[in-house]
Amino acid sequence: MAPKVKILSNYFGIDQAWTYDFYTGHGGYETAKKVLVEKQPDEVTAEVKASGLRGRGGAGFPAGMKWSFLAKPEGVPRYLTVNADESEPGTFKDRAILEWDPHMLIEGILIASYALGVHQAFVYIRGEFHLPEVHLSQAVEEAYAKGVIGEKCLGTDYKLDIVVHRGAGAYICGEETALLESLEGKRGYPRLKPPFPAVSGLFGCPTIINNVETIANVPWILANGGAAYAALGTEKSPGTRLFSISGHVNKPGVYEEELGIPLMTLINENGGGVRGGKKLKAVIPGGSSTPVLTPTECETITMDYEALAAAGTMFGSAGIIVMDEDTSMVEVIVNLLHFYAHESCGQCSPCREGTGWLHRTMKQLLKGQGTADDVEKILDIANQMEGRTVCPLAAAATMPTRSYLTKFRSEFEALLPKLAGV
Amino acid sequence: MPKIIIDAVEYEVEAGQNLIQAAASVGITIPHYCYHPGLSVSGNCRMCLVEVKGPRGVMAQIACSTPATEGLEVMVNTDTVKKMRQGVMEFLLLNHPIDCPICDQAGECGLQDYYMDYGLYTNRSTVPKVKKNKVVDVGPLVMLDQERCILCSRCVRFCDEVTHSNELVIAGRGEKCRIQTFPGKQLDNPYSANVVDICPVGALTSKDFRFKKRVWFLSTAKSVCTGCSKGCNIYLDHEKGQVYRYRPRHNAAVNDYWICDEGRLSYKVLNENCLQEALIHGEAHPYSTVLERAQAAIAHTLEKHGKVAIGALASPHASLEDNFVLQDLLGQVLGPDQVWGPAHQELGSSDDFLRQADKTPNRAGLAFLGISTDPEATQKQLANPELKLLIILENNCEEAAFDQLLQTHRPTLIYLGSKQNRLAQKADYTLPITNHAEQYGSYVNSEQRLQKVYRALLPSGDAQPGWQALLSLLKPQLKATPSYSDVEDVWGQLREKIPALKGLSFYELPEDGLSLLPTETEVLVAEEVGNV
Ligand SMILES: Cc1cc2nc3c(=O)[nH]c(=O)nc-3n(C[C@H](O)[C@H](O)[C@H](O)COP(=O)(O)O)c2cc1C
Ligand code: SF4
Ligand code: SF4
Ligand code: SF4
Ligand code: FES
Repeated sequence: MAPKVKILSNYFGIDQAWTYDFYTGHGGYETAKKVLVEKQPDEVTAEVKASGLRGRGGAGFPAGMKWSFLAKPEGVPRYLTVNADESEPGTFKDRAILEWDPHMLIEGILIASYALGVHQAFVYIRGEFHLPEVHLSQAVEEAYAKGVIGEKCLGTDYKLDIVVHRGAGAYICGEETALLESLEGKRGYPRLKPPFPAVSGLFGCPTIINNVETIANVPWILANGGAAYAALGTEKSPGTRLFSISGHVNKPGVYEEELGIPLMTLINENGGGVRGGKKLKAVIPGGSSTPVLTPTECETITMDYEALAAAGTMFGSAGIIVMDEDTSMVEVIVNLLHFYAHESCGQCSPCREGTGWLHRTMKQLLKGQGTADDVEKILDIANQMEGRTVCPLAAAATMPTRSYLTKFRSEFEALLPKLAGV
Repeated sequence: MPKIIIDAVEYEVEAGQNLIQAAASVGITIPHYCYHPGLSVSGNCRMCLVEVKGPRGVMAQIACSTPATEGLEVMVNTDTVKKMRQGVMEFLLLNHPIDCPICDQAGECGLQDYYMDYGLYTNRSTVPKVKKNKVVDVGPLVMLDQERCILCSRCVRFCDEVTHSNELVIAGRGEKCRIQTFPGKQLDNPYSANVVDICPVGALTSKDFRFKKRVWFLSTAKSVCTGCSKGCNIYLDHEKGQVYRYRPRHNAAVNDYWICDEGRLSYKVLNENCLQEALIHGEAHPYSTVLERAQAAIAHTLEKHGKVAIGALASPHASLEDNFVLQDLLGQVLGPDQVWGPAHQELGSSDDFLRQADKTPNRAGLAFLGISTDPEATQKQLANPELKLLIILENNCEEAAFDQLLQTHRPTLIYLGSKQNRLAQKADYTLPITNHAEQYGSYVNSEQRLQKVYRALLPSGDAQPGWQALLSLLKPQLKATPSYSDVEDVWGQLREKIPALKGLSFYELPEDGLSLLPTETEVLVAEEVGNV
């Protein structure tokens, strides 16, 4: 067996790993130096394209391709915005990067900005992330002080400023265009698309938005070559990923593994198996917005974009939530719907009203006060919401809802009065 | 012009429109709430969802943010589309109080209207409705019912984009979202009540209008606001001789979709102090008596002191027709130099949007007729001790200086006005005339735009259109009586005497008015001629 490759998590858990001295002591900023001196911006983008790196924020869009869409009109600034809002329930891997290895992110931002011709980058960080924000901001200060960023990045003529901006506690501000609105000082409302941010983003200027983990991969890719990255994982899902494992496992945590790893390996070996020797009941594979998997489905599934799509679910943010046999699926979905109803920005009628309606109807059902046709009705409401809104939050609420209702239908029906004549 | 296909039929439409506009231009209505042509596209209500054919098959898409470009193919009436509309209606009504019986919007409500077409007609909800604040005093003119609000954000966008005063905001998230003013702010900009018009439901209501009248009892006339020289186009809503409200009428060249609050409330003068009877020294007398006595006074003055002893004041409040007839008839009787413009300015607050400092609707009309609008010139005329009789058309002047001028050497006053004002009381002879809601007529605004009003109300009491009253008054002095029987006849004269109106008639005057400024070609031609 080939030795396990770790790209992102080498220094997680190590004291002082977040400092400049530690980072440079372990070869940090060497890659950026080389890139800034030796490579043309387009060569950098080409390398990222060759790596096949896909966005780690949720949608899995190829990062290199996204970069190549950036509009470059004369005389207009371009921006890079790093999405560090990480609020998807079950996901806590960006936090690990920010907390333990913020200089790796800064080096990624520096290289990416250089590739994109960006001189102003932003990190939009979840407001509740106190320690990660402290470490990141310290790292940014150090980077300025050491001449890594600023007027003359690493002694070259290239100029880059990085601003760390704290969010104020809204899941929706993780959606990239709501994030831009929030960064502009407005209410976090997702924008209509087109125009896409790569054409008209922050303050109307071309903007690339990438997840923390996506950008954190960039230094390694430039150091080792796109081909080396592409050799990891599967053909369509190259590289490694940080898996957040939580729920009823013995060892919850963040684990870096190559894509394509079987889910059960992650649960049993990384996560130490289901807590208390209980039986597995269900697994959320990619954050709360992704449809749930049954134990049978879990047995064979591998963690890559293709396999998860084929199983009717999604890779999302790779936040794995494990549920044991004692879990009430009705309680789970009530809990999740509460979250989505609370976090809907309230802009679109179907999402604003629908998420609340679903939540309250489901809550009533849980209390045994549902009506006979509730399951059918909820499925129909979900259909009326999905695909009819400005952003995918509505779908993030309805897709899991549908999966719980269909895969665990009897559990819901058991709480309902019987339909007459059935 | 791009060709688009709607429900398998090809249409040619204007370039640069969105699908809602393009469809409307060929008579197809796509239901919508948040879209408003005077505001940015927000795309939040999702009522305008239609099916669009694209490279990846048929997709649901909102029409308001879909540009009507060449080759666009859409379906606006399929079962899927209807189901989507029904779905959106269900969501919008889910937490709506449905208090139509006590709601002022009933009868002109977007929810009611589309519900008839796309309602589900059964209530599937088994959970209690979300409660919000039903009586929020957001500003001096506007009341908010947060429960009726469908959060289309039109009102917020109005305050952000049109008045740039940013009073309103949507606070909260999800189903707790609600409209409110920013802390410490009031919705009190000079255009605040426009939010009432653009609110598609009964969430924002006018304090002035609410609970006064069911809208289906109202009749509507196209008119023009006479509050200032801007001449904003309006709908005048009335019932049984009473005017209930003004609402803005779209005119891209004048007021777009808006009117100011001051103008909006200026309808009130139409209901108050209408002069109904003819007066002598402030006392009511039969119309014919007053008319005869006034005629006799004119005849007497002419005989005794000659033409120069009589003058007439044209009015920036009266219509172009009234002023024209005043000028025309008195010109015949006295000669052209005895008709003067107003003796005073009537100024008020203004801004760079709609409100004009000149609070009269037709000063430019006087200038257009060639009547001087220089107050000093008129004051000089009035100060002339030789002046023995003065005919005054519609005049609200409250200036003490004006009174004084008339007092120093008190000429006989014949007043033709629509209001029970000081002049009506003071004049020797007062004849009631109609106001702009009671007559057909036209006005020239500060941008040289000729705009017409339609008669909405029957004249109160004995009032007659100003031109008609003038004709009766001066009849004995005229060599040949002009045969004016209606405003169209007046226009017959107007177009003969005023070259700019050649070939036009009152009824042919476009609803959105006519610019009297020379067109670009006319300017060019004039320059050419000048150069030769
Ligand atoms: C409701 C919602 C919440 C999201 N939250 C996050 C988030 O917290 N962090 C993140 O990186 N992406 C989030 N995304 C995805 C972003 O919109 C965007 O796709 C991503 O940041 C792009 O980066 P990537 O291409 O590197 O993945 C969210 C999307 C939606 C619809
Ligand atoms: S789908 Fe929901 S969260 Fe997204 S824009 Fe619409 S209302 Fe806001
Ligand atoms: S807003 Fe419309 S639907 Fe609602 S109560 Fe008023 S009239 Fe009825
Ligand atoms: S108050 Fe009226 S205009 Fe404003 S958001 Fe609500 S429904 Fe729309
Ligand atoms: S009119 Fe298009 S979404 Fe509201």
